[in-house]
Amino acid sequence: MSQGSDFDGLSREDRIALCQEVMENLSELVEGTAPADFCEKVETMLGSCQPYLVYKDTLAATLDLLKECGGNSDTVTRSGAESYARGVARAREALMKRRKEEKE
Amino acid sequence: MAAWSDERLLDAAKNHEPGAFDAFVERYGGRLFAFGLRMCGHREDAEDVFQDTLLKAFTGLAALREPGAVRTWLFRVAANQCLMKRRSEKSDPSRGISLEQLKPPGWDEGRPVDIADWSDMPEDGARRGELRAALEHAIVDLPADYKVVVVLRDVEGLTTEETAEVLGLRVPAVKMRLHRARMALRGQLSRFHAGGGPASVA
Repeated sequence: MSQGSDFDGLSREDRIALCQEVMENLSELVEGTAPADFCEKVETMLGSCQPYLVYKDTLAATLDLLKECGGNSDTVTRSGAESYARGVARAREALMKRRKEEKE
Repeated sequence: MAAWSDERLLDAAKNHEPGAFDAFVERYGGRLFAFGLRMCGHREDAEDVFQDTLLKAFTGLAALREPGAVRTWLFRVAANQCLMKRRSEKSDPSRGISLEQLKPPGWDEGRPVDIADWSDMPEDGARRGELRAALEHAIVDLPADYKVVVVLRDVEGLTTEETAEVLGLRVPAVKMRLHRARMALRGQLSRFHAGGGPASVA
């Protein structure tokens, strides 16, 4: 998987185990919240490994896009403007009815 | 109308002030509707969930003591409404796909196969809009238990701890679901870049 790093010295089983560990913790590696010793180990073993870097970078790009989707919620709401307006109107109507019943 | 603070909203809701409901909708309606739409994937369902969420949330607001807790509490109400809706329609097999179907090939063997690098994305413009749209479609296709985590955490920007609180889960469970959901979405975007489209799951 890597190009001439310590990774190549590992047995096949150990390489698979490390890859699985990395894949299972890729979110924390991307967000910088993984334990420092694990980050160091991954950097040493896979720092120049193209597939690892691609996975990491594309996951980071996915997180950026997810954040953008959040900032774009107004557009999502506008795309369902009629449903939005109907939902508000129905909720308001139900609220008025409830308030009226409470007064009575 | 100027946006009301959460503190002002709580007081207004407690005192049944005129305009409180409109202010509440103004402040949170858009986010709650977008959340419901992402969770349900259908406007008709989102509309039902949105209506129920607005009513339940606004009437319950008066009982809330901490203005700082409004946002997480609202998402708890919204998430419960969405999951209840989902459960009532569980028999419909056309809704949602399993996470197994979204795993990248070779995942179980720790073998990355689809290694196309598409991380260098356009900064803005139509292509980036297409990517966001593809991602929105991919979110809708996630299993509900994973979707709700990724929407709360990554789209709505709640912290991991807040997400756990909203869903009544432990933090490690949130982290696990979040990571799997993210990896599934990453895989769907890879398929989109490869020309298959995010919905073309085998």
